[in-house]
Amino acid sequence: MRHRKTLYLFIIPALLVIGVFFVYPIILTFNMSFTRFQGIGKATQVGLKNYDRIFSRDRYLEAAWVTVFYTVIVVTAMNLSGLFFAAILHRLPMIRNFSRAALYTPSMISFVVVAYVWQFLYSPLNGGINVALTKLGLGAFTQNWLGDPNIAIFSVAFTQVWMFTGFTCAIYLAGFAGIPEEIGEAGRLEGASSWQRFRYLELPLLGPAITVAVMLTTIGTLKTFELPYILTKGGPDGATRMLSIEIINNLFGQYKFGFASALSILMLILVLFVAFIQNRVLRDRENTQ
Amino acid sequence: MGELKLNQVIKRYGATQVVHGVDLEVNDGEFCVFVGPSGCGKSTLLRMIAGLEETTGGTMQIGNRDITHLDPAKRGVAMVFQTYALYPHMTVRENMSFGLKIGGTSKSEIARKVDEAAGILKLDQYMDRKPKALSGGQRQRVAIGRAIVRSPELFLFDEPLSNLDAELRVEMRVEIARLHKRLGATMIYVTHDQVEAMTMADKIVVLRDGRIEQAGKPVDLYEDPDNLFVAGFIGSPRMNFFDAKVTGHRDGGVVVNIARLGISDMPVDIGATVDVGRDVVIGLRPEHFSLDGPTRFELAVDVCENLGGVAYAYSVSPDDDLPVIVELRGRNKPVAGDRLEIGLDPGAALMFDPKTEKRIR
Repeated sequence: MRHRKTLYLFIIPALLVIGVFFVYPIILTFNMSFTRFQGIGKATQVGLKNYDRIFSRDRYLEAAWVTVFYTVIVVTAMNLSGLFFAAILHRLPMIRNFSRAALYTPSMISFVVVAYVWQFLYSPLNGGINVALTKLGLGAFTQNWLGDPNIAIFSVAFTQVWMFTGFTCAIYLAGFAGIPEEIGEAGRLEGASSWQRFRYLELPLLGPAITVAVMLTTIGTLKTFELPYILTKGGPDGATRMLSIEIINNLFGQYKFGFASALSILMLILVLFVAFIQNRVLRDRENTQ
Repeated sequence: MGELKLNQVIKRYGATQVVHGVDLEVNDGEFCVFVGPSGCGKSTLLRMIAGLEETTGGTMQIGNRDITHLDPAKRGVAMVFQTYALYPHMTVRENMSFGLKIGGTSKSEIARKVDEAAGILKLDQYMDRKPKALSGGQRQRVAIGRAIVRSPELFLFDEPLSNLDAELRVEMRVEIARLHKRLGATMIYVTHDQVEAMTMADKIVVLRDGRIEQAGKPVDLYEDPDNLFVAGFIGSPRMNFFDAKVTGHRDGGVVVNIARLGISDMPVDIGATVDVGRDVVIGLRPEHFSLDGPTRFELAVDVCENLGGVAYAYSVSPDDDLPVIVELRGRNKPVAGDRLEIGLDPGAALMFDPKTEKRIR
């Protein structure tokens, strides 16, 4: 028993780090969300007023909706593209390692650099995409990629998908590597085409990889801030204004520490809720297989 | 017709050749076992027949069809893997029906074939279970069932019993042999276990370094091996080999001196002419020694394995890597440290050329 108790001593450093840098700030934020505080002076207790303001104004619910909508687009596209590339690279061992590294490279670049590069590419007049389209004779397809409220969110989402497809691809490739080779060979001998092997044999066995990839990308995307902040500043007309941008605007734009804290708590609940539901659904799906 | 013909079949991985021009014929309905040490190319050859490995050179035929570069699914072969390769997310029934389903077979036909195979393999009560809820033997039966339902011309088994415990291995060995009899199909079976090979095969193919050393009936390989390798590989315990020198000629053979056993004038029957003074290797199986054998000698016993009905005495010499193994029957078994007075039957001795390793007949 003594031995068992001493084992717990080893997790104290980790608990301290989590406590000081994660749990304590959350508690502070939670407390601050019931106050009005400008960063200096004294915080005034305002009860549930901040939360009342969030739920009584469309602006913040819209921001939550944009966040969820953006997450759905990005997570779906990112996982489908990652799975697509992984399925192809799994069948092409000669170029697998090089391509995996190449696909992963964008996710190693800073968000700020990626955002500025894509801001140039999306630029309506002399941006790379519109110039390329014009030169290819597809001038009719040129767009104001970041200026059109109907397109902007998809443009920002595309940048994020471009950045992190290599990440999901790496997870799915690891999933493929975990499937015994004989399963595919047995399928081949039974006459299953490459697509049938993917659909009926590999995809069901990728369950754990799907769970990990979807969970990680969802949590990461719900917290997205840098890309929309640099590319569109939340515009045009609030089309890309996500909860994270609202929080920063309130915090450092208007010095509403209390209100920004309430929005942060709302965002935390949203992330936890989505992660919890996803975890349950995906794990259940894995267990039934 | 499930007759298989391999003609000068070659496999190369880049510059490395692993199968060197193999010629082989397996008759319709025959149970053929590929046997050999690890890395001898037996599994590679099987996978080439299955189409899972591309054949670099030569041709392969099943019946009259050239299958050398045919898609695996179109060859009319089914394979049972060492690791079973069952689809873990499917039930036993789904595992067995998968190939037929994607092949477009009607539902009633699938049900009939799967139920029939399940009956043969006594899997009826496990049909709705997933592989993880089955024992090793049951999983192997499902893998065999999956092969049966496709009614292939050729069954391929890649070390199918290696993952089972000893008792189950014997049970499954009998079951596969019975299945072969019942289905009358051509089967090719890869194993490194020569007991499996001897007990199951109609034809054994002994492979070494990607070449066929000898192919034939188990008894022929046992009693009449072509070379030192086959003589040493087939039979358990293995054959004893003694360095010897030809000391003279006699009618229908030669006289040899075996220094290791202290025998100076052992007659060996051979048809070939061998010069006096030539070095040869004499092969004698453990059962060719007996307490009343005509050629007498003494042997120090270092270890004696008593299996009840039979015992194996091992005699080690500092000059030889391998011990001399002698089979003994009867009640008076020696113990370690004894000196055994024993004889051998010179009529059973086989002679080999130590340089070419070929048999001198």
